[in-house]
Amino acid sequence: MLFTSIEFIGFLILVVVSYYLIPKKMQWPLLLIFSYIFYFIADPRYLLFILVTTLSTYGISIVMENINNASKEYMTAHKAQMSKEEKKAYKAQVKAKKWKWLLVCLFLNIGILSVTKYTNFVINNINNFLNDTSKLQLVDMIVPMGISFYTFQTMGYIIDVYRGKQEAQRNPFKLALFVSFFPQLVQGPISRYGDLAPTLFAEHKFDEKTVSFGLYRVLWGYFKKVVIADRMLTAVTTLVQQTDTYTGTYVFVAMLFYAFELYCDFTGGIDITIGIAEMMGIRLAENFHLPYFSKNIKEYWNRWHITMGTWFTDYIFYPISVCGPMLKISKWSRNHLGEVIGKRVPVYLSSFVVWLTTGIWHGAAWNFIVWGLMNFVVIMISQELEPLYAKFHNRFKVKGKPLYEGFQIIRTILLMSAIRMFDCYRDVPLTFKMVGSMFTKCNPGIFTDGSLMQIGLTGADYMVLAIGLIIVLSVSIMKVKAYSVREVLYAKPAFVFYTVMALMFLVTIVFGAYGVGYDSSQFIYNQF
Amino acid sequence: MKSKRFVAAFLVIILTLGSLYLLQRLLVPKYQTGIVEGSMVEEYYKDKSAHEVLFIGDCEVYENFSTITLWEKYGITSFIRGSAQQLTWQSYYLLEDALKYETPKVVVFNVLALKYNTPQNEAYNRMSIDGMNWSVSKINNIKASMTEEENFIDYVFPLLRYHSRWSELTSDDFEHFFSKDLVTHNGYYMRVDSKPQSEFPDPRPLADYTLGENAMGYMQKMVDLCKEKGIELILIKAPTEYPHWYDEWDAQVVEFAKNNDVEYINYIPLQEEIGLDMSVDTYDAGLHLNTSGAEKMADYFGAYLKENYDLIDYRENEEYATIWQEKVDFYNAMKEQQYSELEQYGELVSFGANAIRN
Amino acid sequence: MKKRFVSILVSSMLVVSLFTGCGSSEAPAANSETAPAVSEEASAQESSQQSVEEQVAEPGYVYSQGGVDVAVNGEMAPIVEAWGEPDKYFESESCAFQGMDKVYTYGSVVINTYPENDKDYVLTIELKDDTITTAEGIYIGSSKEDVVATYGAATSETDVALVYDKGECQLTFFFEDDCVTNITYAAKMD
Repeated sequence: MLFTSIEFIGFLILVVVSYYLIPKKMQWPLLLIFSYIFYFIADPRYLLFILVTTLSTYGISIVMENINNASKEYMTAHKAQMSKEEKKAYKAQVKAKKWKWLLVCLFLNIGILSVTKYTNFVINNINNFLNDTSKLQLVDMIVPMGISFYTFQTMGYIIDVYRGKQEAQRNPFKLALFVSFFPQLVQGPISRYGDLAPTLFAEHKFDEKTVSFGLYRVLWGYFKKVVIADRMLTAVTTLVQQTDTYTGTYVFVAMLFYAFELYCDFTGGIDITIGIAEMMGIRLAENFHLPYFSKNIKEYWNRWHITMGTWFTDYIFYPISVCGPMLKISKWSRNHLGEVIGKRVPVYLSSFVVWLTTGIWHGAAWNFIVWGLMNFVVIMISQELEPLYAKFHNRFKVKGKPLYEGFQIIRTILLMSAIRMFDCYRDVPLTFKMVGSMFTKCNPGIFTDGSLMQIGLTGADYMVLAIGLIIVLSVSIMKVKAYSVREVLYAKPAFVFYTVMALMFLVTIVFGAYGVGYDSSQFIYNQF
Repeated sequence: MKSKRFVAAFLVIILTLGSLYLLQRLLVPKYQTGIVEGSMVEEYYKDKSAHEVLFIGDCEVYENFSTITLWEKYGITSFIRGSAQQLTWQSYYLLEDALKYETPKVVVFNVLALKYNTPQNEAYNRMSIDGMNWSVSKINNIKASMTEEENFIDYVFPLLRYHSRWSELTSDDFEHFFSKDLVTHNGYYMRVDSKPQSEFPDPRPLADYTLGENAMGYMQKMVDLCKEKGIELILIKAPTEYPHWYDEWDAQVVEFAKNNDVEYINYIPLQEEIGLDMSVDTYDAGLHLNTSGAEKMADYFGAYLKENYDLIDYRENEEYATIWQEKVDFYNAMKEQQYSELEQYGELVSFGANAIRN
Repeated sequence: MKKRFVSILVSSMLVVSLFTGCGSSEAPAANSETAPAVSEEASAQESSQQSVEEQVAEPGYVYSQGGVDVAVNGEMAPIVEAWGEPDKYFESESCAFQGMDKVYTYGSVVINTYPENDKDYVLTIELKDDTITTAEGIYIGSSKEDVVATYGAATSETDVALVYDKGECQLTFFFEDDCVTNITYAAKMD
């Protein structure tokens, strides 16, 4: 069930209505049942995977907590008799025990993720390496829906339990719901147990404001996804697939279109997700904070796909930065390479690992890996250039001036969009070639000679896109000024608020790019 | 305060539903000029008088038999439930549907559609199905006809299918927002212009000439349904020669007719006997008959019906005579308009391809 | 300190797969449904279609003449451009003006097209006599043995013909007395 399918919308209505009709005690169990139904409909086999993850995490988290409790009891009982050294040794022993269990859990679950997602990638590469594409047969592997998301979410939980930051959930069904909660199963956000649990398992009374705010956000998400992103998809597909025809300035157009498409697609999807949860009184973590208003790439990554970024920071970057070997490396490099370089080595290494894994996490392909590393390179370069920028800012006093900020924002958007072309063309050398052609082949004539009418969009489509994007931009600007459009509207007479929602719905129905009438299939023929 | 908000919400929901209904009316194609084939199926329900003969099939029935000639010459009351590329199961379900309203004496099915065994084309599906009143037959028809790209829900709410027509609305969509004009004559699509038949390309050999099981199965269902209702079924192959009707196909239908004890007439070899002159009796170089051809065909077929089936001459029935006089007038008026356009412009301007508005 | 390894483990397990090969092997996305719509994130959600499914569909049989390849479901316009005016041309308006079905005859080749989105695409290619051959060298008059020797075992066989399916193309050889009488390339239905 895709979010944009009619089946999903029916499912959603059923879930929300029954959520408020049944006794409040039954609310979270109901969500669990519906989440499993959602997963079952996608593919019954997926259930096996999510069950293994849930049960292994459940069991191991309990074991770890029991070890903790037992050790605490032991300590309180024997505190008086133990020497300092004995205490320390005992603690280390306990930790080692827990560590073993954690290892089992991580190996198992990240193992499942790796095997399902990356087996064919590895086989492809081995074949390539051996120069024989048929040496190893590709396997027909099922990749459970949302496995990257729920695995990360669950691993975050087990690490928190290990660290003692999180109490283990003793009700396996509650943990199962945390892992499988259906709105976020498909595309995140990656929630933290500590944030989500209180609201997920709480009893929620029907509240007109909560429900209508949730619905408002869902409608807004659909508007962005169906009216804008899906409409642009046609053009982006054409531009990206016919690489012989669409070079030079077309690549630039593709780059911009893809930037808008991706933004509307992803933030739209997350709005739908968060909105659905909100309709049931459940608060999910925000995943975006006006990313296209970032003034540099680091800021961008603090505002785009936030829950993924913080996950990598908390569970990979920091631990690596302060782990034993890294401290050794750090010490060594300070001693041997001097303070300037030595200081940077650990940061660089940790960042490298983070961006490498970020790339791999996004997909089993080289283009994603290169994409991740490109981000790493750009961030490191801009970090190195920081003193230079500071000098520049000091000298010209442009910092904070609207014009200069505008320049910074546009620069960041362009840079991010350019890096994203790896994701677009899905082929590393091709991406370099195409992006290169932007600079070597100049054909800006396409803006005026009607060429842009040939890429699958009509004048009417461009009009819808232009108006749609202006609306999105206006709403974003309101947000920058710290207005919530929802709140502003809600304060007005109820009729106004509801009419706006109705209009969003009607506009999406009429101007959405969906269904048979909207022809997205024409490229299938064009390809051959 | 709270209750006020609920009232507002309720009102907005009602308004939204109303808007959806109006939007749907506006955006669904009206099939009033140019492409009128999408109006054919629903026009059946507008005809309140009963029919003794019911034609079902594709363009080879709705363009080749003049219902008005059948009336004028023989007093036969007939209706054509046909639409563009109407597939065998669509004809079956339209028959099933029609039998809810009346029981004709004779049902005529044109066999060309047997060549298609699977769903073909979304556009034709919509033209054939959208006009049907809701019933189990319609639901089954949709299920049998949907191509892979289609969704059932799009038939329930045509707005979901036609929502993007907002950029191609024509004056027709506003003029016929609430009511549509008749475009056929009891299902007959009139074209008086003429374009002589030319040479057709050689038929391509087929690796397998077996008519599909699915299509043949639905023809069997027609036979069974007609037998159950005491209706005589006549299978025909219209006299037009293109698309090619292979001898191997013909043999299978002959065999089928024999086994089921129903009549089957292939009119292709009878062109001369009917009096068809394909240099004048076709409007599109031999694919379909024009009105002079359709009138000859109706004349010939009417005589056959009269002779072999117990049909009443309704011209003596005053009630029917009044109803049909109106039809005859409409028929003649349209004919006159078409001829005058031909004279004035050398081609039809408010009918056919030239009338398609975009 | 050991607990710091947790995260190293998380990452290193993912990294392992990295060092197993090098060089890019991914074909550019072939499927319009999955290609650029799939964002970085989206691809993670719907997961890796890359491998098995994403490989480019197997190309079908192609008829080649005068340096021009004619493939079923391919566009007709470039062929007309290359071959010029056909010797014979026939068009028939489909019912309810859904486009023209066209038949082009170039010497011994007959090409039927179907309309879609204002363009014409090749539906069938028919070879009518022995002056031309398939790209693999079979012509009208070849023996059944030749056909089997060239194309291998047929996908299906009827009383009068051998049918070979490949990609989107269905290539049919018709026989009379074990002698090829007609060769037709057709776009596969369904």
